[in-house]
Amino acid sequence: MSNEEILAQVSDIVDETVGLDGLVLEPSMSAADVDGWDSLTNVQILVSLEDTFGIRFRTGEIATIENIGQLVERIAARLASG
Amino acid sequence: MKTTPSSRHGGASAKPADAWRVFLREWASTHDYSALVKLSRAAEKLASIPEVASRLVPVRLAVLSTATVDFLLPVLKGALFGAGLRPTLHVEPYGQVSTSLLDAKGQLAGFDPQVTLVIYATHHLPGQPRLDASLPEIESQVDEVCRSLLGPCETFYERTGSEVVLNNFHPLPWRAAGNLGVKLPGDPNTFIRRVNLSLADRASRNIHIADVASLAERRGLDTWFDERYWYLAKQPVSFAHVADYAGLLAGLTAAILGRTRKCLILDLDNTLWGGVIGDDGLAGIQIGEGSAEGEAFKALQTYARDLKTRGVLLAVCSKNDESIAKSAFTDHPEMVLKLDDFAAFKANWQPKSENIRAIARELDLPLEAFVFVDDNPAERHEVSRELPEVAVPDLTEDVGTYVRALDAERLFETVSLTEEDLRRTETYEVRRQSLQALNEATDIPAYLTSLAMEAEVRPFEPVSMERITQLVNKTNQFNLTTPRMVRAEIESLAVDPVVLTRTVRLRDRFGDHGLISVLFARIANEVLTIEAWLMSCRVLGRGVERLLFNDLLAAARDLGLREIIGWYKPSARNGLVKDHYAQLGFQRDGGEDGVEQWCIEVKSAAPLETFIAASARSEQESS
Repeated sequence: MSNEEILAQVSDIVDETVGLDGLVLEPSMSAADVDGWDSLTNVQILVSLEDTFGIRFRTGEIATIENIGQLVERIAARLASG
Repeated sequence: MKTTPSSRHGGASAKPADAWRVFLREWASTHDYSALVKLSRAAEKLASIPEVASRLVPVRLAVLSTATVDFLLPVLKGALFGAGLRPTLHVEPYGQVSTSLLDAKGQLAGFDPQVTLVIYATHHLPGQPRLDASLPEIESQVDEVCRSLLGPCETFYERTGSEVVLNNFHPLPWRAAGNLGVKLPGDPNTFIRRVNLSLADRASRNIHIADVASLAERRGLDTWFDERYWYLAKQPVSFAHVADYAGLLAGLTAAILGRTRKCLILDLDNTLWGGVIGDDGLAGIQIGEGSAEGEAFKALQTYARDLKTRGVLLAVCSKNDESIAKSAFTDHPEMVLKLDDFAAFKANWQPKSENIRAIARELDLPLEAFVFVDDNPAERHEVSRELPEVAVPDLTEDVGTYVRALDAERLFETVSLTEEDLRRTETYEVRRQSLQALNEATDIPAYLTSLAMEAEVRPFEPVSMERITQLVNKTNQFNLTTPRMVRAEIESLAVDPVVLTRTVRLRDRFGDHGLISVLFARIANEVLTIEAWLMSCRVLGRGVERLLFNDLLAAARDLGLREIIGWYKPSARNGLVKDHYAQLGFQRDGGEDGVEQWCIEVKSAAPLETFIAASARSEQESS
């Protein structure tokens, strides 16, 4: 799966969770740039990402991610390592 | 970036009742967390439409927790809707369980909940023991923990009358002491198990234990708890099991409010035994020891029998020749269930939905009270399409899974085992016999006289509170105003000096019907206003309401009252009593907010004829 495809899916999940219509995420954006992406919806987004991509984030891993681009790379790395 | 919510696109044109059915179906088959949240939000909108709301039981529900409940709440709402309730929620700030419960003037007390959910995370179990603690140390620690958990709940119940649901604790999916842990009283999981046992032993009848430990064991501790989300967000249950957890709490809440299934309808061929009795004959069917399948069918029969012992009614609905079908129960030695275990028996070639309607009429229960079990997917489909109110568990083709499938939905959740429950099948049997007697008798007074009825009219008494609560919350048809109340509200009526309370117990030559009617009325300005009057439909047409009217009239005279007022609040199910007050001689006297008011003057009213003798005890009372 390419990083663009991952980004599109991440966009959809964030969009669904925070309840915005037609949100498009850019790699440079962070949670603070998205209305409604707070600590609660953050957990929901993580759960959906884990379910959708079939991966598990490590405890504390999320705190180190600064923007969407890094999140997509992390997911891509997880997918590659199986 | 914000745009209008997308809710306007879908479903706006569908009928609310149909949309609600779709919700119920989807809710039962959805497990994905975000999908559940979405369904729940859609249901909340639907539930605000009067047509849907009128079929749901409203409940004021408070939630207190030591953990994060933000993720649980939306799913809990959906589960409550799914269980037939319409919740008004009050959520106390995180982590203040005991102080909130003990604060007599706080927001929680002001909210005046009917049911309060108290959620403790296993990690917040007070008093984690030392691994090498001695047994006496652990015993006193367990004692202390249980007191600290139950004390505030009991105090809260006593002060507010809110029933309390308290969860027990799931063990942890790790154990430093390994197998030795079972021998160490101070091992965390050994300690947790002791606390769970002790909680159940000590909780009073109004503190209901949500058995999270058993549910977690069933689902598997490895997946029940996800420590990553505990560390990150104090989420006490893994997201994969939030729906399970919410379902457990909602089921218990519904049971407290009397919203629970009451009758299990069973198919016969390939459901209660293997094979087709009409084709294979008595010797050809599989039931009991001797074959793996036979044992599985026997296990289902045993489970059904246990339900019956617990007060759930059993019925048969089968496409079969009646005499052949019955012969299986009378002539097959391995049959666990016997003919007299069934409160109704339909074996014919009519559509099953029609037979189930007939069973509902015969047993005088709403369709919501039934669960239908059939191995044949086509029959299940026919019933759930025609009668969406009936619960129809999905079964696989493997009989070995039937008991689990039936049990998994917690359809028959209950909070008490009353004597009346345990005797209910018996009284339905009695009712059927007396229906037969009615068919034989040609003259109503002669029939009623022949029943040799004796009634006992009493005020609300402590020994009867459980049954009164149950009757108030379960009765739909003969119920003039359909109040829904928790036990404490009813207890407070009993001691209110301006409230007159009445119960009626009825016995006849066929058996003891127990406590079958409840009434309470308020005295003000020389007027007795009947706020609630309800009766079990088992004793319809016996003239019990006339007897109770006579008792009220006598009481009104003794108290020097001028007038008796009665209310009739029409509901979807109480059309039966729309002429109740007219038949007792009341005159229509206006009313408001959809409630009809009826009145009768005490001095011009005369006692009505009944065919029921007052028993010795109530005569003493009224003299």
